[in-house]
Formats: sequence, structure tokens, C-alpha cells
Amino acid sequence: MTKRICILLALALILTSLFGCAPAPAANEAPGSGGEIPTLTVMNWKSYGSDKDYSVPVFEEMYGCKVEHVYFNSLEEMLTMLQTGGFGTIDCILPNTNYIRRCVEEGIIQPIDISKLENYGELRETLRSFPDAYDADNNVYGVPWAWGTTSLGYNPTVITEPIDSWSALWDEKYAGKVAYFDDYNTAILTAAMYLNEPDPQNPDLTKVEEALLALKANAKTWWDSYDAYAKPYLAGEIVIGNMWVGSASSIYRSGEPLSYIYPKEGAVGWIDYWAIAKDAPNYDLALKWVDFMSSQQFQNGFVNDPEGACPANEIVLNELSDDMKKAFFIYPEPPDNLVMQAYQDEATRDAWLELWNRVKAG
Amino acid sequence: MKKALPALPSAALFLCLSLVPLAMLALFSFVAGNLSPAGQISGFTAANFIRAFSSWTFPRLLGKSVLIGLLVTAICIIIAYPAAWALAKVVKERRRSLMMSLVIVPFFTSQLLLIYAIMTLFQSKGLIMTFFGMLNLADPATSILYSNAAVVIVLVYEYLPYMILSLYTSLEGIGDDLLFASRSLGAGMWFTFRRVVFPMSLPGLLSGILLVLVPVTGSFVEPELIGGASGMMVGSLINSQFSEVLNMGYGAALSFVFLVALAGIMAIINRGMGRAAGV
Repeated sequence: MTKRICILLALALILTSLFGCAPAPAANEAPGSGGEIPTLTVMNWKSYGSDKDYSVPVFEEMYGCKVEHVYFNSLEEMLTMLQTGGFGTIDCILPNTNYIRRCVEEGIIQPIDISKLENYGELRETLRSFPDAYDADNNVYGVPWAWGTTSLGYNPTVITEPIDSWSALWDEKYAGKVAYFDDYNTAILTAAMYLNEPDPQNPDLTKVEEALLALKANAKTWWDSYDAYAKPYLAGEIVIGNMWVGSASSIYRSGEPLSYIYPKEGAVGWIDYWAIAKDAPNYDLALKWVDFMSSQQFQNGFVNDPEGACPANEIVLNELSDDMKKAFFIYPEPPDNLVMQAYQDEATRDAWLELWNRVKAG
Repeated sequence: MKKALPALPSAALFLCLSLVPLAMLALFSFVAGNLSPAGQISGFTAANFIRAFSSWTFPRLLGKSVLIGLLVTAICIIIAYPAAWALAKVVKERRRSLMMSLVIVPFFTSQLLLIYAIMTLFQSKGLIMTFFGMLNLADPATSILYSNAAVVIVLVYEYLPYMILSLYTSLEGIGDDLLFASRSLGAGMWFTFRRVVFPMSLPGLLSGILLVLVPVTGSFVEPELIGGASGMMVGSLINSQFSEVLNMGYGAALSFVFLVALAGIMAIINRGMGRAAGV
């Protein structure tokens, strides 16, 4: 199935490169000569903000161009499509905190001239400062666009005492009522925060393994999708666990009781970045796109989109109504002690996965 | 040469769909790490196999998965024999196709939907737990989901039709005159089963075991969804090498050892069955 999709996508990519690209050089050679209008090609997940009616038509109107979307189903696929014929065709891609370091190191993306971005200063400082988006010379490679967390959720009708720490997951009171994300990266980062490790990205793995084995005694299930969390939660079989903010929002908006908090030790976070691909055919237009994606105008449309995410623009974030902030779980203030899911080299990834599998199998 | 020609398409299929993938699996299990984006192999090593047995994780999960596979297969056999017998010998011919389609109906639904359906039935405050609650047998707020027992139940439910259909094809071929002869020569029901029915149903039973034991032992969706915190099976370990870290070499090595182990178990079962039937 996946293979068939891959083939279709590859065909689509070949077709767009044959037909979509042909007029582009003419437009680049003679801007404003009244000939073909430039076409900006961006890669994103389908229905994720940038292809909505509050984005593409507005941008096309503003800059007299066309915007083409190329969709991917995983970031791995995005990189593969880029590396197999995407260079010279694709302008913008959307890596996240897991991938941006790798994109910088492999030279897949190019530095972004932030002096030409009007809205960069409005983006939330804690998101901009994540070091993986910079190279050694402090060049910026990624502009934060949307962000989210994997933090602590619980049922407030069952758990009435105040909770402010990850240690609640280890509390014997909730034995057999805990759900935990079946993802080695989040699992280990979260345990490292619980242990107050000075650098959660680089924790004492022996201690982490002990902590996770202790957690296992409390855990009912390892979840790996919205359904896998929501079903036992709504049936009352689990009352507490780490969860995606998106799942928390869905459950909260459906009127079910749920508290989603950011423990004092910190919470796991991710950022989606706009980045400009190597050999992008329309670098200047790509800058305009990245700037538009950061603007209050776009980000206001994004937050009101049911499929949207938490905006990176600080002004938009602060101007949200209290109800919206509560639905995004950023009321009264967004968290600022996030530990980002950063890039890891192959050896670290292997070691972390092996540890997590050992815990689950033990 | 003329005789070999018609067999060519199936031989080509067998080569492409069976032998080549197997050879690739064996080859990749010696690859160090993953392929480069351009598809190049970085080097060959036996380290993947050493790593598989350097901790208890893989052997323990392999053992557990084989035990669950054998248990599920045994339960399927016990349920499927009477069912297949009824289909082949008891049900009137006119009703048989209806009964057969009832057995086949679950195949029309996706495997994932079957699992979710069972989960809805079994979950706390679901139909079954509410019923037990009314009889004061259990607390309806609890459930048996998220345990190894739940995994076994769901796997039996999913794979039972394969066993029934395999046994049915064998049992149907046993002529009524043979059963009559056995009875008229003074054999009781048990003796007839042991000396006539069972040996004659062996081919169906063996293919049923193959169709149930192999996929059940390698299953990873069911244990991940309903196995709970201790539900992990060897399939999840192999899956995580591909879906989470893309360590193709190590994943292939684990698959390869798993395949060899399963082949060994099937060989033992094959021989044991033959001996039991006195063939």
C-alpha cells in the first residue's frame, strides 16, 4: 500500500517537475516582464494550515505568484522526495525539531536571511532560541511556525488533589491507571525530567531505565495514537498519563473532564519550522512565504482553524481569548520550560530504543 | 521442455515473491545499520546477530511469542474440530453454504476493525462487563483488556476461521462408508476418531497450524493495542527497528532468526503429528 503511494507520489513529483518547472526559469530571468508568473513550491502535510483558503489565495494575491503544494505523509518521506529530484524544484519544506539539525548538517536546507523577514521578531523567543535551528556561525535555518507539547493529563473528577510533578505517574495511588506514550524518545525524556536530570537530552541511562521499570509496574498500557489513549481514558480504565496536547484538546473540547498541566520539571515539546531548500528556484519569494507564514494575518487564521496548531507568533498567542487559550492549554500563560525533541545520531537512537524495548520486554 | 513450459509462470512467481525476498532478508541481516539515501550498503557484519543475543530482550520475547502462538493454535484446534466436523458431516447440504459464509464473514472486515470491535465489547462498562456486573460476577468498571489474556482471546477470534476452513477441507473428504465400516467393526467414537478421522484430517490440521501459528507468533498490532504494559511480543521489537529508528540490518537479522526458529518449530510439529497418527 505504502509502496503504491510512494510510486504515485514519485510520478506526481516527476510530472510537476516536467510541467510545473518549465515556465519557472523564464519568470526568473525576466521578472516583471509581463510573462509567466513565478510558481512557489512548498512541501507540507495535507490540510495543515498552509493549503487553506486563508493562506494560498491571500499569498498569491499579495505577491502575484502561484503556490503549489507537494504533500508528504512522514518527514522521512519529505526528505526522500527532496533528495530524489526535489532540489531545484522545491522552495520550502517543513522539518520539525527532530529533523532540523539533520537537514542543516546534510546541507538539505540553506540559511535564511532574517534581516529580510518583517515578522521574525514577533515569534516567541523560547521557540526561536532552540539551538538545532542554527549552524556554528549562528545562521538561522528554520523559522518557527507551530508548536505543541506532550505533557501530563489527568481526570480531575477522579484525581482531586493538585498535581504539579511527573512523580504522579510513579505514585502507587494510581497503580494500574497510568498510560504512557510508546515512543522511546518521549519516554526517556519524560523519565529524565522526573529524575531532575541536569540535561534531559543526555541523561544517566541506568537511572532512567530503573525509573521506567518502576513506572511499568504502575502502567496499564503504552499508547501510540489518539484512539489508544482516548478509548481507555473515556472508559475510565486510565486516569492519568502523558499525552499529546492535540489529544487533550480534542477530549477537552468534546466536553469530557480533563486537566492538562505542565509539570514543574518541564514538558516535552516540538516545533514545526519553515525552511528553504537547497537550490530553491525562488529564494526571494520563499522568504516572503516564510515571512507570511509567521505574520499575524496568517497565524490568526491558523488558530481559528480546527485543524490548526498552537501559533508561534507571540502577539497572536497573547491576543487569544481566554476560552481559546484554555482549549490550547496555554491559559493563563504558555509553558516556557519545554524540553524539545531534538535530533539524535544513529548510535544514540539505537541505544535509547534498545533501552525502551528492554523496559517493555522486561 | 514442453512439459516445463506451463509451469513457468508459477515458477517465476515463486522465485520473485518467495525466494528473492528470502535471499534479500538473509543478505540484509548482515548489513551494518541502514542503507544510505541513495540506496548504498555501508558494509557487512555479523554484529546484528551478536547483538540479538547479547541481552535477554530478544530471546525472552521470542520465547513468549512462541508460547502464545502455541496456546492460540491449541485453542483454535479444540474449537475448530467440532465446528469443522459439524460443517462437513452434520449440517444439511442446503444450509452448508450459508454456514460457510458465516465463518468467512469476518474476512470481509479489516483486521484493525475486528480488534476495535472486540475492544468495544470487552472494555470496562462495555456489553460483556455490564452483563457480568449484573450477575455480580465482576466489577463492571474493570476489564480484562490490556493483558496477555486479552491478546490470546483476540488472536483466537481472528485466526479461528483459518483453522475451521483447513480442517473442513480434510474432514469433508472422509467418506461416510469409512465411518460406517469403523463402527460396524466395533470401534467406539473415540477409537474411530483416533484411528480414522484424525489421521485422515492431518493434512488439513497441519495447514491450519501453519496458517495460525506463524502469523500469531509474529503479531504485533494486537499486543500493542490490548496487551497492556507487559504485552510486548517479538513482532513489536522487529517493527520498532523499521518504524522508529530505521535500523534495517538489525531488523532483518531479528526477522531472520525468528523465521528460522518458526521453521524449526513447524518441522518438529510436522514430525510429531506424523508419529502420533502412526503414519
